[in-house]
Amino acid sequence: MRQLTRQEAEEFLHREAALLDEGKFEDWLELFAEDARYWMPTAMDDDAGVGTPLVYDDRSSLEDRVSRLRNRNFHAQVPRSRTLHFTSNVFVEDAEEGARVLSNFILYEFRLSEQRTFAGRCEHTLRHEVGAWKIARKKIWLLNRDQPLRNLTFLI
Amino acid sequence: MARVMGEAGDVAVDELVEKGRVHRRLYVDPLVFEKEMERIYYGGWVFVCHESEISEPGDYKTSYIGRQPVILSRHSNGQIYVLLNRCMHRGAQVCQEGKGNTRAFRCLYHGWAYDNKGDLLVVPFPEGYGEDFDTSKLGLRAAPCVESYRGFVFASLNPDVGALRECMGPAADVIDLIVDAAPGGEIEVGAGVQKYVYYGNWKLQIENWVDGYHPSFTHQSAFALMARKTGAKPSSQQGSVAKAVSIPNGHALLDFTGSPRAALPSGDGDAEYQAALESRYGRERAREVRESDVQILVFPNLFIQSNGQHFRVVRPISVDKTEVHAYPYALKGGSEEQNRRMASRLGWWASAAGFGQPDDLEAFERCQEGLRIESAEWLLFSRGLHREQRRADGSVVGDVTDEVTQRGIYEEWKARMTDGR
Repeated sequence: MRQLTRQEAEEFLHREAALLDEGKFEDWLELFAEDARYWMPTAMDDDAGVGTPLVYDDRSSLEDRVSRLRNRNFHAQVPRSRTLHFTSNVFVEDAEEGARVLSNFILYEFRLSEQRTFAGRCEHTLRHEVGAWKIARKKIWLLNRDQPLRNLTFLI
Repeated sequence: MARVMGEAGDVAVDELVEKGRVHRRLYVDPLVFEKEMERIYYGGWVFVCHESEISEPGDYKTSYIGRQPVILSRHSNGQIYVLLNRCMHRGAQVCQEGKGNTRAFRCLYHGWAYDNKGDLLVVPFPEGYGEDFDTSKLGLRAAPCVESYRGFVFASLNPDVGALRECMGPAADVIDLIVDAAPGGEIEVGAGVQKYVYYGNWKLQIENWVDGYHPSFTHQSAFALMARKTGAKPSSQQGSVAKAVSIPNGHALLDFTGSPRAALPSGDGDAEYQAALESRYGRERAREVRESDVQILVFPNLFIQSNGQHFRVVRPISVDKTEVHAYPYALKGGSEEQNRRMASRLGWWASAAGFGQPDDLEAFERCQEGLRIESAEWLLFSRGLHREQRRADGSVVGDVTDEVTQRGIYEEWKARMTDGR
């Protein structure tokens, strides 16, 4: 099985962040496997199951999420958020499917007249498919995920 | 005439609401907000929690009545107490956790401790107080009135508030319809909570919950995605059999029963569910329950949506900041799979990252900004005024896109704010 080094994992995460920050959402979508899961829980307890999540997208729902960003009637993203993702504290572990990459992130988001900061932890489950690493699952734990949140309609 | 000092001096509250329009000060004036806390949130019934959130003796949850922190506490006698979360010694909150189970609430500051119904149990070094020091008078303050209906717990800080059932009126029948969808006769909360916040007045949310006019426009992008998947044309509910209903005492209902939206696709285990429902309620009631599709505002702070299998609670923070907590609920005796799916689906629509709610919040924040403008003073709620019908039970009915629901809300608002009853 193809191994993923920490340097490769970091490069992957930086490339993913750049696609989001540059608004190349369709290219970002292509990083995901066909059976991918994109998951942002609200629960602090990891054993709580899916419960009522912030996001629990399969590939089709993730495609919706991307395509609505191109819709001028998606009011919560008119004007669109500008973002800068910063990724650090990367750990790589071998996983059954490929690799499990853990990272921390800081995200600056600016929209209308307001700049906001978000922080969280990410787990990418990556799988090597026809010459490239694909995201089989991306799980995002926002630091304040159990608190009242406001407009998270940009991509994290 | 009730008057409050407004942003530009004295305001006559009863001049702020007219038939079919309300004044912008309802949304932007901090002194109107203060009066609302006193008259609506502390003077009437407000929803505080669902019984299933604190089902065991010793269970508690912290929340708010208006802006005042409370503890919802289940005593070993089974009763729920709504305790004001403030030590009677020097004022510190005695409970910081959101939820838990405890035998006592112990103040961190000087160790005073209270039991689950707020009685003062422990005062450290009691010899330091004189003989007239009476601990029986120093229990946590409690809401004098706590009642529940079908598991929904309401409290009032006003001892003369009257019976809950009386305040609910025909709204109780709607709650019956919603809860009777559970073959076990009750609903249960326990799959987590969605919390969102916006910079806008709390009434922007409650008037939106029962606004059948906005979806085709506010949610245009979400409906376009749904239409692409199902092949259905996104259409307005205008002219459908769906109805907007204003229920006495400020409650309001959108009733989609019989409209295209009401026909829910049945899933696995549907036959089993149908049988369970019929065996509990009989065939006729089971049919009525299954065909219904309702969403109701229980004034001032609770919203329940049958089709979305969840309820939401509004929490006013200030005149221009509001939090909302949305709870998926499980139908007791219903399909586990459906209960799980509905909890997840609530996030899909209503989370801060969801496909629906963020567009509403965008609208609320733009309203709050727009309402800063002083030269345009009024908001219009006159849609359908010429075609509304009054029913024998005091309800007023209109087309689902009519503003009959908002008119009912503001009629009640005016009555509460001005001794108008």
